[in-house]
Amino acid sequence: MEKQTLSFSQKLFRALVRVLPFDFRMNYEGEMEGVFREQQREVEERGGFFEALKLWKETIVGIFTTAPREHWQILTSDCGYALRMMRKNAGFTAVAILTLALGIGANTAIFSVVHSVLLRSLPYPQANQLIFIRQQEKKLGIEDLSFSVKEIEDYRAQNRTLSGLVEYHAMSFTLFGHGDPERVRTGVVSANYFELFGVQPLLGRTFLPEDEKLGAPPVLVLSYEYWKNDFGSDPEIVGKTFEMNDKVHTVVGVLPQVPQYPNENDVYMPTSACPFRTSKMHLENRDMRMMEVFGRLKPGVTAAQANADISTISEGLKTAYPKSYPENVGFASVAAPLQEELTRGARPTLLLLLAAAAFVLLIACANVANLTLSRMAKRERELAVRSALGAGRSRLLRQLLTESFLLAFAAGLLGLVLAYGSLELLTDFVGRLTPRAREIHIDSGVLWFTLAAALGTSFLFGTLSALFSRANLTSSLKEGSTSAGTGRRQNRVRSALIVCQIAFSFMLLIGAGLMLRSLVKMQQVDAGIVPQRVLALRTSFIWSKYTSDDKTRVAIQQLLDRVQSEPGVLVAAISNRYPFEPEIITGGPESVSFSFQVEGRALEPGQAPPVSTFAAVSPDYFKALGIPLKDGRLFAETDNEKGPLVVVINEAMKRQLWPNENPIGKRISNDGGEHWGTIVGTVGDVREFGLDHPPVPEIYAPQKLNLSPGVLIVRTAVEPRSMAKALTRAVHDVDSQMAVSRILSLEQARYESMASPRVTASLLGIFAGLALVIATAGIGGIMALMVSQRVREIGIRIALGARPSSILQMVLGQGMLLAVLGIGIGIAGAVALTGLVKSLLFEVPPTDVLTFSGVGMTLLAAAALASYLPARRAAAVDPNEALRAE
Amino acid sequence: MDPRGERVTKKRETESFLPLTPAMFHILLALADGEKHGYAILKEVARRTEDKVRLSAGTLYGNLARLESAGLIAESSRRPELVLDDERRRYYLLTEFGREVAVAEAERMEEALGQARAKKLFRKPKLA
Repeated sequence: MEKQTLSFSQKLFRALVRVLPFDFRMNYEGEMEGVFREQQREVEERGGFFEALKLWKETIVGIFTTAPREHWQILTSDCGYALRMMRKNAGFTAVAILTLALGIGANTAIFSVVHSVLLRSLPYPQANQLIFIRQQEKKLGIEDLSFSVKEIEDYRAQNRTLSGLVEYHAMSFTLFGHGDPERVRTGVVSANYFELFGVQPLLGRTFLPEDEKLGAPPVLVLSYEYWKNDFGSDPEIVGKTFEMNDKVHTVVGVLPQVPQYPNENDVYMPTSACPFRTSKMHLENRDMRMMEVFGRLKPGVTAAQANADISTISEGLKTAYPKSYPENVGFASVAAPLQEELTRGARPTLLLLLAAAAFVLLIACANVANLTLSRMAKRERELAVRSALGAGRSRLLRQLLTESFLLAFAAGLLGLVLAYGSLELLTDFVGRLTPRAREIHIDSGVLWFTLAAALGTSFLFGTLSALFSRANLTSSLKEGSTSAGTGRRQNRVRSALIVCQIAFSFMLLIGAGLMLRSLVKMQQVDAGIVPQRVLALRTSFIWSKYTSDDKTRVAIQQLLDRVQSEPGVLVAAISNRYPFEPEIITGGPESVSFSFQVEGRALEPGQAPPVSTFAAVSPDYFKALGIPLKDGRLFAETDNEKGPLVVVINEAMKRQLWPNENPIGKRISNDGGEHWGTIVGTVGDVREFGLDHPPVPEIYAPQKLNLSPGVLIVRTAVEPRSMAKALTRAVHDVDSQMAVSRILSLEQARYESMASPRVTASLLGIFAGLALVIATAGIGGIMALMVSQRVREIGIRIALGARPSSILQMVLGQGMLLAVLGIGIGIAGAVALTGLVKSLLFEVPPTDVLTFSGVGMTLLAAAALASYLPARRAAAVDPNEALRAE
Repeated sequence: MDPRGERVTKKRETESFLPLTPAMFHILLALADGEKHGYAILKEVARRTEDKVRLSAGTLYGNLARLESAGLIAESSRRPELVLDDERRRYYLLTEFGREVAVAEAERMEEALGQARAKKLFRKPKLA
């Protein structure tokens, strides 16, 4: 026959026909082409352009209406068949669905967190325009310096890239007029704060420019949660008045349910209502820094442009006010997208967990692919018969993929349920890493992810198993039973899958092991205090009631005396903070640091001054917490405002500044030499910013110089929390309007401070445990299969004189070989991935030998255990029966 | 076996196909007077309906596939006359069951037509 060259229209027709299912084309394509050719010839004979056009239109419409119907028909018949097969193999179906559901569930749960926290933009209009501005003193190691009122005014007036710039600081005030006096978390904000974020009030209004003028009548806006929980969603709340800081405040509005950054507050007030922010000291002193600053980019401006703009302003400030910004502190300012800023802390942990979850899913896929392959071996004849009856290869592949998709889809649904169930736990955990945790929920993005995970999963294990069984469809029909060659090739694939599972399990176990080891190390660290039986209570005054410093001092002394006399109290002290206090853990040392100078030590030009954290403590503070005196003396009652200023330092400071000298008697100043404090003693180091945080230099000053009651620290003779009520009563005996909040034992505080590494370790542990179980079951399964396939060969060996113990050894050895191979790859993978965990470890190298060898042994033991049962069965083979059975 | 029961099942089976799509009905009609290949069916339907029902290659074979798998038509064993065409054409014939379905469809339409007549639907509209 003459070779035909296809005309353009024929080529086009063939291309169109490709949208029809393969089997349909196999059956009808030739005929369809024939019909189309005849139709064309007819049109040509009649010679109408519009006729030809009409023919094409009808042809295209015809094909595109037929195709979906044909595909759908195949799909429904495949699904029906697949469901029948699944019911028939209920055991396999259940195991496969459960395994995949665990993998998909873990991924969905972690992804819902990653999606809500890292990927989704902040829930404000044009959220990508929101930026966070920080000042820094780089040479002092201070990355996040607050702003003073003067500085805010400068940035607001001088910037060219922002459409708005607002300030924020958090306060805690006492609110009267609503039951008991109540501490409310208060956000003090610029008048246009909510406007900048694009938040519309639910009730009433937010703040107006006139609210922010000094002396304006004080107003409040309530957060949605506070309004709902404390006022029962009172619709008449707007216009109600409350007393706060000795002034009547009127509620003007209620916020909608929006996430609040950077902290959650009960109420918001404009800057004019904050007694501190409006004090002369804050208004006029450029160095009184307390506020955080947010901005909104002008349309079309990038964050990088804003950063350059802000940086130029800070350079200008340095020139204009050299005293406030000395060269040697490395002053600078930066602007960064708010979203990035809010999620910085959570990123490494979440990415690690996402990787871990992905590993679990890969292991689950490999395992189900293995299960499917084993089942395929049993179904080979069925598939071969269908193939012989005319089902095309792609038709069979399609059938197998449909089956695997149905499995994965069911697993996806179950996984979604698992993820939903674990969300509360995860939200609680992530809440320690980022303020965005409250936004975590399962939305359409997550559902798409789950669907994609299920589809990807089914595709992965479906094609894997289909491809390896396809190769020998015809041979299995010819030879009647599984041929030796096919069996061996399939076993190689299965073994490779097992090796992969072990390798991934090894990596996960290493991750979990390393986290666990650092947790243990952390717990063994000497915190420098004796936290048992110590209770901390935060107290606060009504500022307006204590009009003079003397009145305040007397009240604080009365408070201390009253608490000390309470039965069960061993030692009572007062401080402005305490080790492991949640705020301190979050803020880090820089939140309580300042720079100072040492008498007689001039700085080189450009050299940074020393930096220290600072605490104001009453004399018994060290005794209450069990901090040992190393040299000199502690504070005495006589170290007060009347006597000379004395300070106590810790050993970290001694090591840094006087490594070979005695610091006692040296003098330091933090106000440019106006006042000098003499060092009278050295005390032990305390890891107060978290057990994983090395001690930093610290200066203690007598509490009497500080005019705030702060925290009561009480060492008790009994279980400390049982004394909370009595101690609260004691405080109210002194001043019934004094508020007591956040009562926490130091052991609780210490435990809480480790919550993040603990939960990370637990989650990784769960993932690793899952992986271990799946992989072990996999090894057991494949060894059992191999033994059953080789019964005849083993029978012959035994008949020829092989001892059962050598058969046992042979099978065990094969299982162990897989494990050793997997562990080898796992070691390489774990070493390559050290970067992922490094930042989360504490005093454990990412290639910790103990962890690696421990995990290796665990996996080997698990593999040995899993291969032992099949090995014993192999050793017990009766040669007569084995040979007869063939 | 109860012959009445069998008849009822058969009737029910036939009725499950009703109403037929116009394309299907016309394909069955085209095969009523003998077997034909695809293009002949297409031509005959177009001729008989004066081009009101036009089948394209896609719709024709989509319908043939469905009619065939439902057992309403079958492939004939008759082979093409090689002289006339070098294309491997397949011929289709109407099965007994297909004929029953086509008859049932025609009866259904007849009944509907009768009802329309009874309601005097075909009365000429009055001109205003």
